[in-house]
Parts: sequence; structure tokens; C-alpha cells
Amino acid sequence: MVELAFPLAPWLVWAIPMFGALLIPLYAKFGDKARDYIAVIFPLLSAISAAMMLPLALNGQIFHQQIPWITSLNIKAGVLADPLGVLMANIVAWISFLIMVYSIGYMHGDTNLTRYWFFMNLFIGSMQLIVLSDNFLQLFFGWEGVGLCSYALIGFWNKDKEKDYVGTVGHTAWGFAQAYSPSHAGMKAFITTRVGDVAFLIGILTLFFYSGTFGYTELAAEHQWAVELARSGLLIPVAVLIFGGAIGKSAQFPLHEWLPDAMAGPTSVSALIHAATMVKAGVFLVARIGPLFYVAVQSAQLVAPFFQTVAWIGAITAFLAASQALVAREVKKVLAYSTVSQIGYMMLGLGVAGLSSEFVGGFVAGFFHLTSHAIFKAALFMGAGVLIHATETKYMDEMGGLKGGMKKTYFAMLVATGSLAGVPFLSGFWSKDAILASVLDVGGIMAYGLFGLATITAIMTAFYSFRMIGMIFFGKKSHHLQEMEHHGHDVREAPTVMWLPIAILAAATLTIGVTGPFFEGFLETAFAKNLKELYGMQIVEHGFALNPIAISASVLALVIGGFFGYNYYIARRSDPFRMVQSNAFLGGMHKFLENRWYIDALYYKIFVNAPITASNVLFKGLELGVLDKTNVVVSKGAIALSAISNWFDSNVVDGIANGMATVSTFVSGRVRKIQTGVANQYVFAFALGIVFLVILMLILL
Amino acid sequence: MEPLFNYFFVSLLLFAIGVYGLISKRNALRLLFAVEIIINAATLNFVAFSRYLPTPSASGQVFVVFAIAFAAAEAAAGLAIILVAFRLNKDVDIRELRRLRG
Repeated sequence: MVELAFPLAPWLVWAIPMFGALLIPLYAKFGDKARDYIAVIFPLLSAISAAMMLPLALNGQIFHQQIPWITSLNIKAGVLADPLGVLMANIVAWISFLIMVYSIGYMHGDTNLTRYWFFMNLFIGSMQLIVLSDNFLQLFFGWEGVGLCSYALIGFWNKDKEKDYVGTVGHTAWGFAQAYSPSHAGMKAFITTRVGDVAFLIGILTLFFYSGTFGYTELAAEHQWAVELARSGLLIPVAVLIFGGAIGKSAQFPLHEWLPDAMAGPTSVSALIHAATMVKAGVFLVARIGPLFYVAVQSAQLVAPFFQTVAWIGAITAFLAASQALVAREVKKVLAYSTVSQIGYMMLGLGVAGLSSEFVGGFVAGFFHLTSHAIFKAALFMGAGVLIHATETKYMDEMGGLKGGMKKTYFAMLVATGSLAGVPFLSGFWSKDAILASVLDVGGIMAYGLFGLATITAIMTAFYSFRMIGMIFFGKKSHHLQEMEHHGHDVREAPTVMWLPIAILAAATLTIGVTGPFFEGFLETAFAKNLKELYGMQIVEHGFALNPIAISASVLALVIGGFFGYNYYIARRSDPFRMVQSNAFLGGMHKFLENRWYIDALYYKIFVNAPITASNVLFKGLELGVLDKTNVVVSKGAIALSAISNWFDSNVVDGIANGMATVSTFVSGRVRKIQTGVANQYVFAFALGIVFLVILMLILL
Repeated sequence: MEPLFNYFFVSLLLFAIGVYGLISKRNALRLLFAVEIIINAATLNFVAFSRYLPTPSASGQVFVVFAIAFAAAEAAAGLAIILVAFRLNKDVDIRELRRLRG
């Protein structure tokens, strides 16, 4: 297809961190400093390799290279560097690199850092494998690698000390504790995403069964598989099953419950999971399969149910998670819910892409939002890490009034939060607006439903963004902070190695914000070429255009949400805490949202407690009631039988056994005399044996 | 075929001497010498056979060079063992070294 100046680059992007991870235990032998810096070099090299591929994205070209893998099934491994893959790889690589640099400061002094660096590098490598692989099977390897690393890193503080718990210890919903230990949270993430992974695996294997290939380019070149899948009625199930993998990884409803608890891990890990790896993998997968299914069928009507599913799941998740973010107490949990919510927006964008007549609009919107979210969310998480270090608490109500003492963090977080809330001329404003506009492009009742949900979510987003900024930086200092200062622990700004990555990301947010329309136009050109060349899609480019309804809706949402947020948490005109306590309806709402709509508790009830209860019932009924009683009867019979056999045993069997033992003792007593231990005698016996053999041969011949 | 039997005879003689040494001597060093003699008996056969093949070849002699090298290595290992045994027992009489006796 196209030549690349450095053709190994797409391989190195994922191979360097993946195999570099294996070297880290080795470098740990040279001391902690060497290990920490080497661990950051691998992502840097990977990012440089990724940057080398950028010309491809700028020219809208595709680089595709394959090597034989499983020859008996004609499966090939390969890299596919199209604009989507290249841009994604660059976002992942550079943000991961900044997070790794930040980790040097954030994790400083922690024990077991070899394990930390190993899994962080493996995490980045697995994610890049997902991004650059050219087939589903290879992607699945990266997919599982990401799952493993997330498990290991969320549960990194595996001593399960109470200060590392996520959630408020002692808080319960339906009798289920709502605070989880790090190792429990890691397990929860692993098992929940595993549900999606199984669906994904079934999906791609069915696809392989019908098409005989896992490769995207092969699937895009020849559409017989889609015809046959559609004939047997499996087209939509297969697509939705593959999407199931994305639901699990990207923490979409109904598999979203793991992500808030994943906050049990170190903050740098959360930043990596939320901004660069893991949750973005699901969105990327949908961006890969969406066009594939869209062009494979004769008419777009056939796959519409799939795209409707994606869009609705996205919209519902966006709403659900944003509502929970309204009441969250921990700063990281606000960010976690907002990630789930923003990923919902991306899914919404990719979903409506397949419903509209021109695919590229929603596709670009979804990816644009992925980009801007990755940047500002990484900045937010790293800022939250700085705050947690400085104030020694993760609860927002134990912070407050930090604006003066932590100016750099304040400004960076202000920019990133503004972008999240959709403040005009920041990156999030343009991308959110693009999604809303592409939803409206679909038209029809359903589109208005989706648009309504998305707008309400935008209001809530603005509210919780203001709430977060207000609770942390405005108002009076909390008792906790006053006590700390009393003891001489002043709140301090972060070291350079920590605030520099945040500053870079905040600057990137501003840059994309200022150049928003241009950036969107660039993405549209690149992806239009991408879709045309790879999938043979007919694309009509429209260029950048503002949709007046979408833009007024998003500005209105910002104004409404921002007004309440500003009133309660920045200006502090009235105390929301007292309002919630005095008003029964608000109090009930608060409790409902704080308990995560009781979905988490419901899952524990059905999937954790029900099997335990069932096995208890089995234990009591079957084990104690039937089996134990049978055991008693059987054992009484057995005692009688054994009395008889005892007699037989002691007289007959023992007699035989003792007799044999006596004989063999006697024989071996004689035989052991041969073993003199004198080598001469052995040689003599050996020579005699040879003579004997020679004589035997002479006689016989 | 006559000359070949001469070689056999010498070889057999050497072998017999070696075996006699192994049977009768107690000193571990002497045993090692005896083993060397047996190896020489065997290598002599190699040379003789390869010389009197229908198409004589040098492969037997090459083999012997290897055998000598291995014998040297084996002697080195054997001597090391004997040295250790001497340090432990202040003696190299193999009749005293029979802890593995049944």
C-alpha cells in the first residue's frame, strides 16, 4: 500500500514497552533510580516510534504489513497503521509517557515498585497491540493483557490497608458494604470485564467461522460473510457480542460497576486506565468494527439495530454515571463517574454514525471526544493525585480553600475541568458539540430521545464539574487541613516532575480548544480518506459547520448546571448539605444516587450472594440432611464389617505378611553380603562374567 | 589376516594386565593406571582394524586421538576425586573407602 520511512515503527510501538517490561526486574538489580528512569524510557521510545507514523495520518494513508502466524489456519499477524490507528497510538503513547514521568514523583518511596513499572509498561504495550493489530485475534491478546494489567495495578496496594480502601468504610447499601479493598476492587474489575471478554470471544469466533479470517482488511474486502451471517440471523447478535467486549472494557451499562471501585489503585494507574488505556480500548474497538459492519451489508437498515444498541447504551451510561457523580465524596470517584459518562458520549457518537446517512460525522465526533477527553482527564487525574498527596485525604469535603496554596494545580485543573464541563473554546466544548450535532443529524423521534439524554447529562456534567472545583479550591479550609497545618504540615505544591506533565496536558487542552474547528476538519479529512480506502465507503465531506441547535443546547446546559454549581459550591450562597438533610425528596435522591442506583448492590445480591446462599442451602439440605445421615448408617455397617475383617486381618493377612517379611529379611541378609564395597572384587566379578560369556559363545557357536 | 592377530594378541595382553591391576591393587592411583592400560588396549584395536580394512582408512586413528583426549580428561577427573578422597581419609586405599557398602 504505502511505504513508511521506518517500517518497523508500528511493531516497535507495542513491542518496546511489552518486552521492555520483562527487562525491568533486571534493571532493578542496578538500584531503584536506574529502574525508575529506564521504566520511563520504554514508553518514550514507543512514543517516538508512534510519532514516526504521523505522516501517514496527515496524508490519510494506510500502512499494512503481515507475517505468517498460525499457518495451518492461514492466520496472519500484522500491523495496520491507518489514520485511526496512528492517531490513537499517538494519543496513547504520549499521554502514557507523561503519566509515567508523573509516576516517578507520585510513587516515590513506595515499595514493590518493580512490580508497578513492570505492569505499567506491559499495560501500555498491550494497549498499543490492540491499537495497531490488523486482526481480531491479535487484538484479543492485547485485550487480555490489558485486563490482566488492570487487575494487577488496581490491586497494587495488595496489603489491603484500610486507608487504601475505595469508598466510605462503614457505608452500606442493602446491607452490602460500599467500601472495597484494593485486591477486591482488582478482582471485581477483572471478573466484570471478563463477562464482556467472553461475549467478545464468542463474537469473533463466530465471525471467523463464517468468514475464515480475523483480519480487518480481508473482512472489508469481501462481504460474503455478512450475507451468510444475515441469512442465518446472526449478524446483529455477532456485532452486539463483539460490542459486549467493548461494554466490559469501557465500563458501559450494564458492566460499568467496576470502574468506580477501580479507584482503589494508585492515582497514576487511574490516570492511565481512564485516559490512555483500558477504557479507551472499548471505544477504539467500536470504531474498528462500526465501519466494518456498516459497509459489509447491502443496506444500512440491516445493521441499524446494532448501531441503535451502541447509541442507546452510550446515552444511558452517560446519564447514569453523571447522576452518580453529582453526589460522590471522593475526588477520584467524581472523575471515575465522569469518565464512564464521557465514554458514554463517545459510544453515542460512534453509534449515531451508523444511523446517519454519512458515516463520518459521528465517527469523527466520537474520536474527537476521545482525544480531548484523554488529554483533560489525564490532567485531572494527575491533579487529583497531587491534591491527595498534598492534603493527605481523598475526600473533597476534607479539602477546601486550596486556591491560594496550590496555584499551578488550581489553574491546570480549572482548564481541564472547564473542558469537561464544556466551557466554550476549550477542547471538550467542540467535541461534545460535535457529538450533539451528529445526534441531531440522524433525525426522527429516537434521535430526539438521545439528544435529550445527552443534554441532561451535559447539565449534570457542568454541575459536578463546578462542584468539584468549588469543594476543593474554594470556601474555608476544612478541619482536617487546619489540623494538619496546626501540626506543621503545610499544603505544598507538587514537585516539578509531577506538575510539568499536568501543565503540558492543560496546555494541550487549551491548544485544541483554540484550534477546535481546524482540528475537527483535519480529523474529518483524515478519516474520510481512511474509510474510503480501507472500507470502500462513499464519503461526502462537509467540512466544519456549527449546528445552532446543538451549540445552544450545550451552552444552555453549561449555564444551567454551572449556575447551580457556582451558587452552592463556589459562591457558597447556601449549604447543600443542610438542604439535602431537611428535604425528604432530595435526601432520598441523594441516598439513591450515592448507592449507585442500587445496581452495585443488586449485582452483589444476584451474582455474589445468591450463589453463596444457594450453596449454603445445598450444604444444609443435601450435605447435612441427606449425605451426613447416609454416612452414619453406612459407617455403622462399616464398623460391623470391619470387626469381622479385623479378625481375618490379624490372623490370616498378618500371618502371610509377617511370613513374607521374615523370608525376605533372611534372603536380603544373605544377599547384602555380596555388596562388599571393595572395587577390586567387583572388577573380579565383572571379569569372571566376561569369561563366562566368552565361553558361552564358544559353546553355542 | 595374519598380522591382525598379532595386534589382537598385544591388545589382549594389555587388557589382561589392566584387569589384573584392577582386581589385585588397592591403591587408587594404581587402579587409575590400570584403567589407562585398558583404554590403550581398546585404542590399539581401533588402529589395527582401520588399517586392515578392505580400503584402509585413517578414521581409526582419528578416533584414537579423541579417545586419548578423553582418557586424559578422565584421568584428570579421577585424580581430582582421589585427591579429595585422600584429604578426607589420609589414605588412598580403596578398601578403606567403602561407605556405600550394602
